[in-house]
Amino acid sequence: MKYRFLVLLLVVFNHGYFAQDKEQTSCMSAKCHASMADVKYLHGPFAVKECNACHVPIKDQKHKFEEIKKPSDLCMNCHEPLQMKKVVHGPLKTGSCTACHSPHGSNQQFMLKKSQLSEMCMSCHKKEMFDRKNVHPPVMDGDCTVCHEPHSSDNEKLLVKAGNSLCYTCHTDFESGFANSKFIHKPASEKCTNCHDVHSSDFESMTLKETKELCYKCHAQIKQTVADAASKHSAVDEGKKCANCHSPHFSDVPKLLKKEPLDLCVSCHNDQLTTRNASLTNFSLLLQNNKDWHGPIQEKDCSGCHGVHGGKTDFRLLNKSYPNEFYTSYAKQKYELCFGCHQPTLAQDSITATLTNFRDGDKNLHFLHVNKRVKGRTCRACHETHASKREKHIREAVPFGKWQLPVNFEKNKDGGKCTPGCHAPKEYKRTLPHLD
Amino acid sequence: MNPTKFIIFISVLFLSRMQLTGQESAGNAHDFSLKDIHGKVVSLDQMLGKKLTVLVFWSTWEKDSGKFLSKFESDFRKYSDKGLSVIGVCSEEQNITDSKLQEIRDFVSVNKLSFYNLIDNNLQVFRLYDVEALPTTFLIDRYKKILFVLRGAPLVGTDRLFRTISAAFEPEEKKPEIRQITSESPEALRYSNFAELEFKRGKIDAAQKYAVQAIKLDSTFTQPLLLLARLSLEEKNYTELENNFRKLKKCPGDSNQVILLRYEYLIVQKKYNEAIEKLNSFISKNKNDSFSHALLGYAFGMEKNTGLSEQEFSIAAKLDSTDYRIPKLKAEVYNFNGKSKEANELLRRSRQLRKIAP
Repeated sequence: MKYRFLVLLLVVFNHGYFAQDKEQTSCMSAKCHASMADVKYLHGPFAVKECNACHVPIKDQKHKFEEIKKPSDLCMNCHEPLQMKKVVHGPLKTGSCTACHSPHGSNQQFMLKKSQLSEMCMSCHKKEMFDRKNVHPPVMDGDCTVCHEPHSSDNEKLLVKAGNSLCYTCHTDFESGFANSKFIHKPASEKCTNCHDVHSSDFESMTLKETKELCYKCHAQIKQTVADAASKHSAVDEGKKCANCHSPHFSDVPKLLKKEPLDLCVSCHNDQLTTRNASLTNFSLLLQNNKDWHGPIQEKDCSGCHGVHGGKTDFRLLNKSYPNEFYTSYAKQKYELCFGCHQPTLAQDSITATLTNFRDGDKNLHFLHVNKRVKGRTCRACHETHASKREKHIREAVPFGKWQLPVNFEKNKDGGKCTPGCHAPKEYKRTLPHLD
Repeated sequence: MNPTKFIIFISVLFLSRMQLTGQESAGNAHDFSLKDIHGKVVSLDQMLGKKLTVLVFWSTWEKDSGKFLSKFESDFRKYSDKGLSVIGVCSEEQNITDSKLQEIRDFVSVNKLSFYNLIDNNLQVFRLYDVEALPTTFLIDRYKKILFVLRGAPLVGTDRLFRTISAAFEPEEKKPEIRQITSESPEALRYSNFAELEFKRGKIDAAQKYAVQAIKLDSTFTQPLLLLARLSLEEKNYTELENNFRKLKKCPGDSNQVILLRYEYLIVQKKYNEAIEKLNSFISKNKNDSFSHALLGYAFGMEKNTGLSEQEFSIAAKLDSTDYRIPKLKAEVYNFNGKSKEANELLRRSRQLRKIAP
């Protein structure tokens, strides 16, 4: 400190005492270096024309100076030595302060050599890193020091703060989201850079890869499901792809879904949709107008039957087999979907007192309708798979070619009756065997 | 309060909580007796848990049964000594043959299920509980009241079911609602982030412009509203500040920053004692919040309690050395106490942190 004070005194004293003389004889007044002073920010010794504070003349040799081997040693004569942290910027480590700072002056604050901070940094760092389609706004703005310390830091890559805490200084809502949500995407909470390129990226949201490929990097099983799917869900391939349904950071719904499953599905299926193979129902309207819902819909989970990433069967993204006809010969494997939750014996045991309420005495009427070698009625002959206006989601009518075949089911305390288009009106009673 | 009244009070509390979290309340559980997989007859009364009972109907043919039952096994191990009972009712089919019984025993053994597993031969209990699909789960309290019914293993319902069970044994504070990321919000978020960035740089007009843009896109977005409130406070436009506070009340999400801004406003109004009291209470729950310590340091400083003021500022600086507001507040305290030289140094530091050229 004492030494620096003496140097400073000498500079000030020397300048004051010999100022007039220097105007005429200093390096700046001479024809050679006058233009160097024509900048906005001048280095102190240069401003007071004390060139000798840094350039030491070689004795008896005119205009010859001692070589400056390590600029930083010279800088530290006046400037407080920087407190070096764990990670030191390359130029500073080698003592090359002049790699970034102009020693005489420049038009930039801190006497930086380039007008744009980013230009300054990119004179050493590869430009390609910052030059992709989507650029992080601080990078776009050329303000590298929003995230990086220019001299030294305790964090890797000279970061101002460690890990995600740096990102949270601007992306504050993500910090609170990660702290307060029920479900967290672990790679995201651990390190934003697991998925994002912090400088620039060719992909939306500055991800490291295209959304689907990025997700598949870890979720290989889903990749396989999508690849193997016999029927494709367009939401997987269109728009924001995985992010159409999943929040990649955090959520209050399991599987990081953006909404509860049914609400999420209906947010797209809220209109008559036409796909390559089918015309899809407006579920918003259907569910609104038909209040008796199938169990999985009551539990707001379409994935009970449908493969949301792609169906294992080629019919309506269904995960298991379900006949796409009005009539079919009975085989258990044709109804795998229904028998995933409902008793398979429902269609196999001809006699029952407990399996179902649709029985005449102990005669199982499900068995009677479904379990036939020829023209067995499929579930859809009587039940709506999603919702209907009647209990047990029984249909009002079923499409039968061009005809809307009526079902006319009426329930009573001990059974019910049907007056369908299929057969003559029939009644059933559970308590007494009914013979007709 | 005598012990009996206390027990009734606790039970009512517990029940009301369960009913709130349960998806459906469906009357009382029916009594039944069934044989377990080893042939021993047991009744519901014998199996009923002291606090909560899970009654789950399952089968080996149901695709998710193994996974689903394993979750109950895990809870059973955790909470059985605290009063949880789990009863599995295997509603496999109408007539359970010996070979089927062995299949069920094997299933129980493979899935390492140690709770009660009963054989519902003839599907009597299945019918009694009006089950239609498997698995179906009932949560029953100690008075046999059905608190929750879940059909199948749906995504959200299953999560809710297991959270309800653990909440009964490990009550936790309700977490605040979090704003959902909607399709509109990324654009609002972008403007909000621009606003924050410009504010950090001291470009107030630009910050204000971006914040207003963000709010136009999402009127209940806390962050830009908070920024506008902060700007009103700095500009001493208290009418606008109050207006912003009113809008912030409608916003969802973490409100700590809003709370602190309100305390800052108390300090501006020179209500130091009230601010100290509230900040102390806030800090007791948020020990690592640097700015709350700085505000407390400021309030103490203005009340001429130099020791406590220094202590709080020191904690604040240790917790966050990059927040420009901390040295700025400390500088004001120093100025108030006539330490202008130290105050100037702190203001210089604050400006550096905020990236405003000196």
